Amino acid sequence: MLKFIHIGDVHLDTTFYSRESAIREKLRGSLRMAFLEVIEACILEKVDALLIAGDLFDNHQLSFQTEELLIKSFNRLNEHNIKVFYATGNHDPGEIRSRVGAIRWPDNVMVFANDEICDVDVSNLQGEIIGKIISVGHKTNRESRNLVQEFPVKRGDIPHVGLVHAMVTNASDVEKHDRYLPCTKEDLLEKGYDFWALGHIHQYQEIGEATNIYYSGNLQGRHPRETGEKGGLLVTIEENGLTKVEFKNFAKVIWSTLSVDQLEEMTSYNQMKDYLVDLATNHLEGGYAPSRMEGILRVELKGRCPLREELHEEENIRQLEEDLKYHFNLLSVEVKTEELLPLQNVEDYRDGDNVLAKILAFLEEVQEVVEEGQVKGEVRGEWEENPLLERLLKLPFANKGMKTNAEKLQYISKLLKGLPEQAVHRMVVEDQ
Amino acid sequence: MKIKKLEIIDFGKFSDTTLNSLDQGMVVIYGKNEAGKTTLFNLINSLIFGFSPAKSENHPYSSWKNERIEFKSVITTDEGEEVHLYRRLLSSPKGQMTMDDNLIELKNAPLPFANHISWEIYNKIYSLRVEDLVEIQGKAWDEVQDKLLANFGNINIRNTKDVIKEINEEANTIHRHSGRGKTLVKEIETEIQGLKKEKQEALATQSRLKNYDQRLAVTKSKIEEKTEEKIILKVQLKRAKQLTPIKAMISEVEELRRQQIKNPLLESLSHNVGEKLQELEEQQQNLQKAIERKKDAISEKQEKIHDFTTEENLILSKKDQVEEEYKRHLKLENLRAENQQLQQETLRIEDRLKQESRDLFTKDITEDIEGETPQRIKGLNIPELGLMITAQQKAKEGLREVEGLLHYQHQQKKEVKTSNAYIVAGIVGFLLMVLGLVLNLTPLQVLGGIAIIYGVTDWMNGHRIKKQLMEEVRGSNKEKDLLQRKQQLTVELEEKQKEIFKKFEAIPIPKLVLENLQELFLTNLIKVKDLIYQLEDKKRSLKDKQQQEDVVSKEITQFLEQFNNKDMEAGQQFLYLKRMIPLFENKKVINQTLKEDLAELERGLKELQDTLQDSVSTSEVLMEKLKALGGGSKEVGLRTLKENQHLQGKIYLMEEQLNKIPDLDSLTKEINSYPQEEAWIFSDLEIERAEEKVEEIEGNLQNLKDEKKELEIIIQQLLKSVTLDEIESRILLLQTELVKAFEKRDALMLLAEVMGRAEELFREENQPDVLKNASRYLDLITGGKYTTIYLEESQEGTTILLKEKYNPIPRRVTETFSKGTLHQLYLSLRLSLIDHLDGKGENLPISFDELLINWDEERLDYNLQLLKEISKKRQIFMFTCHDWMARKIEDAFGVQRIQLD
Repeated sequence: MLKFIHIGDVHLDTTFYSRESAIREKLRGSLRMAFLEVIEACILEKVDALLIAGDLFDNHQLSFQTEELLIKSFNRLNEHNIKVFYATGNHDPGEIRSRVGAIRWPDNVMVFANDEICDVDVSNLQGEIIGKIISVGHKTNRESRNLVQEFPVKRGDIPHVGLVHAMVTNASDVEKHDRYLPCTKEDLLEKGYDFWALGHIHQYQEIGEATNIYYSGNLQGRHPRETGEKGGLLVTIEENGLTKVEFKNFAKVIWSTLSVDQLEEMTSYNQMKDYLVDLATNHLEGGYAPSRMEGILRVELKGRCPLREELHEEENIRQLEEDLKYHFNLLSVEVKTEELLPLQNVEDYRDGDNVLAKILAFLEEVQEVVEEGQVKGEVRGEWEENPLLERLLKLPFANKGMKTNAEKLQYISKLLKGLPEQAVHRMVVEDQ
Repeated sequence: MKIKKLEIIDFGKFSDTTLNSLDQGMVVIYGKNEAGKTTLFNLINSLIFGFSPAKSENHPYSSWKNERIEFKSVITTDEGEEVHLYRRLLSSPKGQMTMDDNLIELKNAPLPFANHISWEIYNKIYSLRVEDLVEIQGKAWDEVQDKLLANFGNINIRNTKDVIKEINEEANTIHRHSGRGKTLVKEIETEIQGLKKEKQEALATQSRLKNYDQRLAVTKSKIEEKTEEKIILKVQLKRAKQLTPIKAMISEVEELRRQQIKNPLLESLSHNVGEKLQELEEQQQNLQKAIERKKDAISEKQEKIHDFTTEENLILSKKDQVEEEYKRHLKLENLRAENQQLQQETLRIEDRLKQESRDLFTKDITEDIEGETPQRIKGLNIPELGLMITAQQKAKEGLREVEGLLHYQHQQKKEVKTSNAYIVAGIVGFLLMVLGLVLNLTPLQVLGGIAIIYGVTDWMNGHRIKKQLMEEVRGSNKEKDLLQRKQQLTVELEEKQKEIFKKFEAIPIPKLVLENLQELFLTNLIKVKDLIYQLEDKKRSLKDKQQQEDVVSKEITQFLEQFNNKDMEAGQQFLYLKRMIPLFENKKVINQTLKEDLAELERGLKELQDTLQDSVSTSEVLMEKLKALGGGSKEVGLRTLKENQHLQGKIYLMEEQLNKIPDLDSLTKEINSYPQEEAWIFSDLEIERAEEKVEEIEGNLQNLKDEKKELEIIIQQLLKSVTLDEIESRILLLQTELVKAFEKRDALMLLAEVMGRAEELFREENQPDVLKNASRYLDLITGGKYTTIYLEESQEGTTILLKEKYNPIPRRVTETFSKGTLHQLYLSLRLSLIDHLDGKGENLPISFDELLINWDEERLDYNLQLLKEISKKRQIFMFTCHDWMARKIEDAFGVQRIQLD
């Protein structure tokens, strides 16, 4: 029997997307706690090994303290005869100047830090071989080869476990898509392994059904998009090849995002607050139990709202956040109001022989052309003959991130959101 | 539209005033200042658009008398329809319009056919004052443009340029390409820069942390190293302090030893040699005296010793033999007696044998007992003879039987009978044997045995023969057979007898006896045989004993012959000897004691003499040595000796002390084992230095410990510093904010651009008509000097260009243009715009307030030409306070002025 815990994308010492430094501090502590809990779980479950599928930390940011934490933790596993198999990822590649190579790992730690495929036997205390770990690491942060294809096919009855930080994609021309060791589900399946321990995707998932190809996800959500429970997998491969996979939550802080629209009727702060409390009650009950863990809730307000102006006031947003935070006893609440729209109905202003109608028509036209171009996947198209779009593409944007026209088009498309409403809002003198 | 009639009930200064015959293209209203020209213009405004404000108490033209506004009007539309209008403003406005007999409630709304123009636009565009021309450039033009572009409907749309400006300003607060001023992006970027710097610092902190940690490790190992060094040094010092005195003593001993004179003579001389010499002298005198005494004692003892004679000595020496020989002498006496007895016995046996043999044999066999006959008798085998006799008897009986059978044959019947004598013989034999066993007499046993054998065998033979005979009687009764048998038996008998004869050959036994040998013969024979044996034994024994007696007697005699008393009988001689021996022995013992004493004395003497000799030679040796030591002088020798002895004493004392030290050997070994480079530990100076070094090390250690503490504090502090991930988090947040800012700014820019473009396009769509029309008007009022108006859009704004009739290149309109031309241009544009604004709608009336008063004659004429043309489609109200102007227009248009009071 081979028993191990599979984790990945721990990202120790990396960023936390929270406005408040106290919350960031909390999250940082929580991530370390989660990591230590993994170590405790390894000991408690008496596993044979801990498998780390890359991105344990960020190469440039590993702190002295964390390095000590890692060494201490792995030494503790060593005391319990637990091996650590660690394949590097794009954030912690094994190239010469990286930190991985500079650390003096304890004897029980096997690091797969370069592009050479290795298989290592896992033995029990009696010296019997109980499993094989086949792995490859990221040597650089730009590993774009499909190295999984080179993995050996399983031979014999000993459990085989693949360990790799990779991007599983369904496209046929995988190597064109990603520079994070891309491969396909079929590449993995044809090796006949008992289990694939993957890293890179931060959401826990099995690739396909009953494939035993798993992403463990990360240990602790770091920003509002990494929602829900986070942790690792406790995997047991029996002698008869039966594989048991159990997800274990290690995260102490859970992120959750609630998106709210249909706010046209909101005319007072209290009305708005009560409405949000109702929605959040349903959302939180369905999502996770805040009593067990600490939660960070992000509320994204969208659509037309009479309180838009008020809700752009920093003070009011903070008040709303505080009210929700105390109501649900949460660690933190963040209310986003950027996407709120003014109450005026754009449609009312589309007809008419005036500049505003012209503006709205233009915005619509640009949106259509851009979308059409995007749908077609073409950079060329009607916009070339559209003088307005041509002008827009030449605009000296403050954001210099876009190089190609296609990127610019995408950016414009993004910017266009809410602009008609803004145009109306700005051009129309409200009746007093 | 045209206003045909105005019936003012109340409007400002006007009350119950009716203006008729207005139904013409040009209406000239003449009046002095304050006559109500502006009031009238406002009345036209209210007529078309209603009241603003809509309350009489707020309205500037509320009737002065009645605080209200009320008027009636008749209007004809461009289509020629007549409209009756009634408007009144009290607390609320009221408006009614009758058209085609339809009453339309307007309330305060504009006239339906004037809906295409707002009140504001009408107010600003359709009324031209002389001041407008003065301010023709700059803002005024923009205003015209704006009105033209924006206020083109019934909605409240803001000035696009204003909005764009506003947007640009807002965008500029976020980001400015020039990089000037304070912008949000700049702020964020500055903050990011700061954080990046902080990040660099944090990185530096990290490397410092590592550095400090390494230094800490180094310091820790140094502390260990130094502590170890200190401990070793301290141990060495402790050892040194322990070993140094010992080493010093050893060294001193060695030094003293070096000082000693290395003369073998000295070593052989004891420390008290002087006294010893004296002692020796005294001893020698004493010894001499003792020797004398011993010698006296010896002579005394020697005199007491008994001198043994040769005879005495012989006796003493044969002491044991005497005793032995005496015992043998006694035995010899006994032997002699035995021999006499034995002789008598022999004679007795001889007599018996003579007697026996006389009965049995023919001659006396005792004469020569060792002769042939007795020997042969001895050699006879009695049992064999027994058997032979039996066989002979059997043969005889067989023969007798055969003869009997033969006799029976003859008598036909014969009886066979076995003799019972055999059984009797067996029983007798048995009894004899038992008796022999009881009495332990061999002959009887033998005899008994023979009798048993004889009895048993013959009885059995008898039976067998009887059986045979019975069978023979039954089976072979033939005589022939019996005869044969008789013969056979006879032969057999003869043979047997021959055998017996043979056996008794040379034995003098009568033949008859032999032929009829009986068992009794054998008994006798056995007796004889036994006696022969006995006789032989006795004779032999006697002979031996006699020989023995002779030997012993001879030996004793020989023994006694050694001594002097030869004439004495052996027994007496032995008694004498036996009496003398203890006497001599006693003397011998006394002598022995004396001799021992003497030997003791002599030994003592010898010892004394030896001692004396030793003493003397010792004295001599010592003297010799002293002299040799002292170079011939005994005294000098003594002195030298004493000095050396003193040194030796010192050495001894020190060694004594050294020996008291436990485990000295191993300590000495240790001292000697120190290599040269470490031998410093036995030097006080070096020990001092080492102690100083310990102090120095302790100092160093303290420094290192301080350093360690310091490093630990630094590390603790550094650990508290902001972590890299915290900074990165902040940077990430700021970057997100930055992207948001960029997006907001870019969205604003995009909007502004779209707005600008929309405005531009809107203008493009509308402007050509306006300009074309305006060009026509300008051409007209300049008398063909300027033919075309162009607009040039640039970043600074819109610039107007004018084309002169014969100049292909248009001229930019600047302030250098004549005022008149500028006024002409403005008027052309304004009128063209009004035309454009009305577009397909009703042509609303326009008002000119003293507009043309500054124009020269020529221009005025050209202008009036234009107005004439315009007034054909649009009613013009011309307000003037100049009579000449009123007259000129009256003349030009053929109309009559309306005079205001």
